[in-house]
Amino acid sequence: MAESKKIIALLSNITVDLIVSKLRHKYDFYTPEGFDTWVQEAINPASGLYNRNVDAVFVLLDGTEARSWKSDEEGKERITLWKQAITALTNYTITIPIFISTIDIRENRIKSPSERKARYEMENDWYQHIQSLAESKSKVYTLDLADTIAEIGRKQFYSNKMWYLSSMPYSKDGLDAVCMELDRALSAAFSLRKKIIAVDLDNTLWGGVISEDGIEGIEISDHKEGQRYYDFQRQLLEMKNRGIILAINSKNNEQDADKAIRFHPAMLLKNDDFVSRKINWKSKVANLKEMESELNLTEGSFIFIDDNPIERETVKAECLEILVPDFPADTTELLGFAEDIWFDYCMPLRVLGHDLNKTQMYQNEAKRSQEMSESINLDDYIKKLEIMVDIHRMRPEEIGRVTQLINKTNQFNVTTKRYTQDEIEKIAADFRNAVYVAYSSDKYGDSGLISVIILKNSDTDMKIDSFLMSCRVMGRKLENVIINELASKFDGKIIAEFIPTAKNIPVKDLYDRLGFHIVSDINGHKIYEMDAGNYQKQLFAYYKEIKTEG
Amino acid sequence: MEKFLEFVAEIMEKDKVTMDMTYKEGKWDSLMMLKLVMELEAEYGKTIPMESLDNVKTLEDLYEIIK
Repeated sequence: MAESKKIIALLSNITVDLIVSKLRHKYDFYTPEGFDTWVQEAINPASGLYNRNVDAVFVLLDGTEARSWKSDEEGKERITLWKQAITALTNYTITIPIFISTIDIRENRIKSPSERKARYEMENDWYQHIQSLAESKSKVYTLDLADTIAEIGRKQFYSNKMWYLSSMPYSKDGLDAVCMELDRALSAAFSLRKKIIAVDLDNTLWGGVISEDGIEGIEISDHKEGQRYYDFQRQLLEMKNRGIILAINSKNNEQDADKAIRFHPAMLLKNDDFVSRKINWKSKVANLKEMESELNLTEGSFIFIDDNPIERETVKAECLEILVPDFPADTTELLGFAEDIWFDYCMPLRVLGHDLNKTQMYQNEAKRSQEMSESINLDDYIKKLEIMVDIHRMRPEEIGRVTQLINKTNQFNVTTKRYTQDEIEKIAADFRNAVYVAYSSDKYGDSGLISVIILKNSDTDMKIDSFLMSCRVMGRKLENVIINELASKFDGKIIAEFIPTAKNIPVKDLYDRLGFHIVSDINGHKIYEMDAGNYQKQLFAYYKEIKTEG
Repeated sequence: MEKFLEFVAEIMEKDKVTMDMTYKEGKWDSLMMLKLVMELEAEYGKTIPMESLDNVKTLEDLYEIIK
């Protein structure tokens, strides 16, 4: 990738040289001068931190340094100071992600358990504070360092030698873990996430081969040995509940497999949990390609899990962008295998409510595709779907979803302008502009907020600054409906623009199709206009209902 | 011994290192020394006492402690 490295500000109360050295191949770092100067850096608006164009801020704190040998009160005061500094940081920095670590305070073990009350209070006080920041500010995230330490165990995570030698308290294992957590969080912020996991069945979702062992013979149970498959399924289900969609890609007799899924008492995943089930004798590559087109997903959004190395190699060779992780040779590791997949490739920075219904949405999409293939023409198809559209000016509670769409829509996006939530707020607050959103639903379900249109007005004309739509609802003439509604509201000239990217080919002729006249075309960057004064509003009788407001 | 040299070369991100390479020639700084201590301890499952570090002038000195 020719993309330049992201610049990460790393604020800490320990020496971070070894962390920087480990991750410098992937990121550039800004670290304040001096040791433990993060508080000053955070509270001083003139500090280096605020005068550099950094892409993200990381606050990594060693809780033990907050503890005081003299008195508990002194320790608590230090936490109060940290809280003030972190609040200042989140007030001064609002457009880029800020990750704040939880803290682990290593207590002096000579103290008896009853003397350790202050430690828990301090850890909890800090946790409550950063958690409430994360809940109230859109760009603030917590990084659960204390949990990572608990997972590894303090003895293994820390090294006194490293602390005495370098004022960095982590052992090699600790350092590796911290670097991995940092990298995972930054990947979640800056790289594309996978959307779908296609899994094999035999020896993957259960142990054994269903067509040979039968429903009683396959291995899966909620206790003892068979629990490893049960736990793996549970992990997949957890991912599904957080927005990942699941599919089956298995060479099998469909009836056998279906029976196992339906009737095996320990099967956690049910047919409804999968948006697509390809259980047949076709090649797995062919099945994956079919899924791509049925679900309107790109190859790069897929993860394929299969215990069979030959199947994995074939998919790797023929579908270069599909992620095919090595299946664990020891299936007791399935639990951790699933966890790694989630953290490395799937975990979004935040799980939005909208993401939770994804499986349902994609299932509806598959039903629609089927109906499409049965229908005679597009208008009939649209009519059959009984589509309802609701277009209105963006409401405050919709800004999260609007920001998400603006920043992740690639295909149906005429200008691909990315805006932060703040920028969108500013655009919407200017009375000359208008930010419209469109919702769509049909007889199969509700697609939710699926389109954003940003209009910028001058005295004589209106410019379509952004026009984008979720790829789930493409191909239903919704774009015609939206432009129809907007054009009939306006008297002057409408100016539209198409800026080509590698991904927005589906809309390169959008405005031609919508009846705009081309004014200029420089290397595919096209300007269009339309005289809305003479625009004849169309009826779109094949839509069930079109509601427009504002 | 060769394994040791290979391992150190990898940590130092150099094509090749030799036993007589000194602290000065190898352009180690204190950060590199830390890395070496951390990685070697983990790799060899031994501890490198802090006291012994003052006497480390060449890679061979390190090897003598860890081998």
